[in-house]
Amino acid sequence: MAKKSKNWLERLMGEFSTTALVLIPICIGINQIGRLISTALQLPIYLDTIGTVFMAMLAGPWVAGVGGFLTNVVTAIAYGRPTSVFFGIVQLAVGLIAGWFVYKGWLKKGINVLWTGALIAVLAALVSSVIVVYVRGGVSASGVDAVVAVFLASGQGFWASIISARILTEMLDKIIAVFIPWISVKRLPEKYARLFKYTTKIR
Amino acid sequence: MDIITYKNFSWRYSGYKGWTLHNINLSIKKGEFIGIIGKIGSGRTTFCSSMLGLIPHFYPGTMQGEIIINGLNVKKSKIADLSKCVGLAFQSPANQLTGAGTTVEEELAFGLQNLGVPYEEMHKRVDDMLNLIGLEKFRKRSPFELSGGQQQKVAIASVLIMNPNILVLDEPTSQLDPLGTEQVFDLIKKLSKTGITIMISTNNVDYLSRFADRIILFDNKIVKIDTPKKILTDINLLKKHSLTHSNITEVSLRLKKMNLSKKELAIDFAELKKEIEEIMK
Amino acid sequence: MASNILLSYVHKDSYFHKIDPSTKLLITVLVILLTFILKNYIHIMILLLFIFPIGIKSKVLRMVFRPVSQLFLIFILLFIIQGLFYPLATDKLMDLPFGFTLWKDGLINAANVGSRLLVMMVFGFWFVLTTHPGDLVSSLRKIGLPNALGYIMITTLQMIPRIQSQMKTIIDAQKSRGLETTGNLIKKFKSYLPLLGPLFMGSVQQAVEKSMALEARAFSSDCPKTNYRKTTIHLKDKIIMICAVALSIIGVILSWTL
Repeated sequence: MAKKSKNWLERLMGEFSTTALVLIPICIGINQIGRLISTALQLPIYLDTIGTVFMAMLAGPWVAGVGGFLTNVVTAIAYGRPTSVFFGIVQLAVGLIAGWFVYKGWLKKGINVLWTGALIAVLAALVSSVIVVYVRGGVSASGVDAVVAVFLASGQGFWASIISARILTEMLDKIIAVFIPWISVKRLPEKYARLFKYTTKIR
Repeated sequence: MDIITYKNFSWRYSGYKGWTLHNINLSIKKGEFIGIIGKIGSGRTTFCSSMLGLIPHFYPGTMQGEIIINGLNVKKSKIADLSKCVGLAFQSPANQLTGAGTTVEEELAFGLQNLGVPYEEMHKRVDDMLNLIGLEKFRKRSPFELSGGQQQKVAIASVLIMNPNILVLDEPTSQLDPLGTEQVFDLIKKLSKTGITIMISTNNVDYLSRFADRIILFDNKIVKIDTPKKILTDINLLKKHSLTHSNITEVSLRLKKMNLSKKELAIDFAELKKEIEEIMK
Repeated sequence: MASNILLSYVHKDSYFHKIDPSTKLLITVLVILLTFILKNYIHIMILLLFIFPIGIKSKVLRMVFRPVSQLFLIFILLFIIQGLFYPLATDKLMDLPFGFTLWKDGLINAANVGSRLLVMMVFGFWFVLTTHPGDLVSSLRKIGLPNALGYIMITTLQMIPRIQSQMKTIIDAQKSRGLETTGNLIKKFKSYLPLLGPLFMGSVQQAVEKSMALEARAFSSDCPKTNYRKTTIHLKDKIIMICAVALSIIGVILSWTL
């Protein structure tokens, strides 16, 4: 059935199987649940990329990137908050990079969960800093602002303060956001795991 | 003519050692009402999925033999084409609502949209289907607000609306309360009169004894295909496969144990009535 | 009808409720683009004036301003951060105690960003107040949104309010069982993170079953799809679209030449 030489577009479209497509709304839901838990419990982490990382582990970088970005498109439409679309770029980046690590087979080893989480945190911090400065003048309206204030008061520069504050707050969040989906994929029943082609890169 | 034919069909999920289904040979005539029974893990769900082509196209695994559904070779056909002649509904009411529509009527119309059915015809078919399942009042409601039984009826109707000539129901009532179960069986009863071929997997033998033309007992292979009378009164066979017999058969069995009746075990109410009348004489 | 499906949509019988969702989306997107293109906050605030006739015509004028209260805290922080720490600052307004400096161009930048946020928020909220998501997706599909994307959007939009109410129930239940929601962080993690495990397992099963359900409804068929909801782009939609684009272009030219 499989053709021998597929061009990049065909290969890309092949990533979006029905199962992968169905996974997207469900994982957007997980991102939402994560965010709700973190606000309800006033946790210092966001948990709003756990679904995106989960997508990356089941369906790879492209599905996770698109699904991550759509998380914010849909919340923008649901709540009428256009700014959230801009932050979709952070989700896109998280999905792509997490998926790339999965694709490379990095996450077969448990210890790499830590490094992957840390690298995703740095990347997410850089991307979100740029967006938060251009769209919201550097104001996040969350706990991060307090950390930024501490850095600024200690004499750090504007960009340095915003980026370091974000790396600091993203670190724990992203490590947890990689660990929980990772342990779930490891424990998935074989019959289901086989339906998602990237699970073989982890299990 | 046979509408469903299985020739030496075997299936193994990739990553598993044994055959989930082994050497299945079967032919079903148009308009038959077939009951599918067997214990958990006996391959009934796999069998039901194979009629729509989910096996071998959706699940990865190894297939042997041949399945012909309504003249289509399942291995060579697309699921989308098979879905025009096979309607499949399964256990979980909420999970098989696609969520592609914000209302019950849109949920019903989803399959028709995918088949490119024109606007007017689509609306007519939706109206007819709402009428059939008795949920006209709920057409503008979100399907997720309905009761389990109502959701299951919507799920069945949303494949039925695509005009299949085979309806496959995989444990449609196993997650429903008694009221929901009754609602769904009432609908199936109504459908059985329309001449559609029905394949239903359920261990609700009370129900099967009343409606099924034939019963297939699965245990990773076909153990027996026969009339409800032959299979559902074979207490030892049922017990061996962790199945129970119907309440009516139980009454009949007790009469026999009390040496009141020498007849073979009753399977439906009419037979039981006759048996009791004879004893009363 | 349908208010249960989405948090924000308000069903009214108004002019703007009836026009095509794509038209409204175009207006909203143009306004958002303009907030980035226009020269300064005064010009951006002029955009806000347009919400009054549009809001009245949509019968939702007062509701449109509801999210503005959320901006209050952001504005205060914005003026502090930008006023004191604007990275490109050159124009000093005054010296403050503790060695801080208040920058004039920082304050102007804060005003630009703030007015942009305000206008985006008001128009964004106007859009969701007047547009049913089902109609939006159906309309977008008609102008070429892929079927798969339409499916993802509509399912997710339906799911969000359901998830919210479910989560509220779960969290309330955990609270009543005496699990921590305030105080010690480690206790919070211990009592809530384990809840996420089953969530992931259940999600995979749900994904598998839902995709089987989609396959059973010919989701992957190749034939051209049709729509159950009727949304048509009328002449008046086209006129509105052309006017909106023309006004935007004129606005940009005026903003940068005057």
